[in-house]
Amino acid sequence: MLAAGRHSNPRSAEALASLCETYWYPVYALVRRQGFQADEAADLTQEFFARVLGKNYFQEADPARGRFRAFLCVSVRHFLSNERDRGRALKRGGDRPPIALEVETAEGRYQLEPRDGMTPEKLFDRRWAMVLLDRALARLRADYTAAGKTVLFAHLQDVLTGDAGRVPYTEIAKATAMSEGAVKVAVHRLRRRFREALVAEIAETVSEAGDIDAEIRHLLDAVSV
Amino acid sequence: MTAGESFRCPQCGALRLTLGQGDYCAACLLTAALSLEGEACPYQVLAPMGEDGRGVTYLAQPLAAPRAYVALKVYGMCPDVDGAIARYRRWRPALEQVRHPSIARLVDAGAALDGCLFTATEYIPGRLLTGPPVAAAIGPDARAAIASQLTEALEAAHAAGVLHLNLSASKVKIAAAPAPRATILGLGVALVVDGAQGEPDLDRRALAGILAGL
Repeated sequence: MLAAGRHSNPRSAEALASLCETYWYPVYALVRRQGFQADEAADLTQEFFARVLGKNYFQEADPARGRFRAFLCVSVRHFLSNERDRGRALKRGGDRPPIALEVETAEGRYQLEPRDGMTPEKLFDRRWAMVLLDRALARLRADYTAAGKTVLFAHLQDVLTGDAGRVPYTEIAKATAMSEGAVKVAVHRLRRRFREALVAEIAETVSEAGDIDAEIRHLLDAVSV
Repeated sequence: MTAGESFRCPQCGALRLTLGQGDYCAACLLTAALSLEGEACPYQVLAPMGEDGRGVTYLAQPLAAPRAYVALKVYGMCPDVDGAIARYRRWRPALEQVRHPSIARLVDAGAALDGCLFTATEYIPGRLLTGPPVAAAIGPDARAAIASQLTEALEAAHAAGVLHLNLSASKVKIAAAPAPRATILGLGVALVVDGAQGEPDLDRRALAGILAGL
């Protein structure tokens, strides 16, 4: 994984902090699904990240040998178990919170979570997948914008995942002044670039390039009903 | 629509939560990323490994994971490519339940740009059990160990509701070191799955071909 795997220099610490900033909500949702109330979950989430970022928390377990997602999930479970044993003697106040966790936003999102029997781990993986996909989509959109193809992206985005029930290629061709064949090629490129964007995001969280497809499959399982 | 609200995906029909970037279906996005449906075969062919009446098998690497290896079989003639791919997707949950070190996992199936069906299976190093160098070199103890491995593997498949239907010595690969390890190939090409509705589900066309060859 990533520069964040070795937390021995400022750059790797920065990379780890960036990952924590990105994936804080799945951690919050996991803590909430463990039965903690909103305020308590927010404190626990902050405390967890404070330890991750402040004490080389990951170095002992060598996260570079696995997937950051799975390692983070297990680490949160251990952290919560230890906190329960210690009577939840959390350190509150004092230091600046390690990440910008907006409690109201987090809780607002959590209140939209399905009230079903989903396990905390499954909820964590599902939210992780959604953060990851959002980042890949944002990267894709930014690429098209940078290339001056904002309008094309706006017309193609509805057929990114397939054609069923979506806008016919003939309509896209008419709206973009392209031939239908050119639209098909553009859709082909869009899907390939999306995969590349997704792979680039996942590559930041796994140690081996060979783990990427397995990670996609795991996340597909997590988001499938 | 804001992130976290639900919508009905027009592609798969399931109720999904919208993403921050819009009402994209997370499952369909990940499926599209995996399959690149309708696009070129997402593997780089390295070398041919074998050929039979149905197609050629190559050692290949996924374009998205260049350090991984698969056995990529490209079928020369498949009258119903869409049906084969749909069947693979239907079977995949059952196939994923079959986890045994002596069974090669089917990891992907799709259509290349030229319309040919391809399947990608976990690459297993070693030689086919039918190969003369292997058959001659296996002693009694190793044969017993291999038989035990194959029996356990089949039990694992059957426990998941999956039957191979086309198992023979030519579908078994042997790795010699550090100890003989047998691996069953070809699971998922012509099999019966005890499907979600409890109904057997099989590739009747492939089965007919197998029976004709008996």
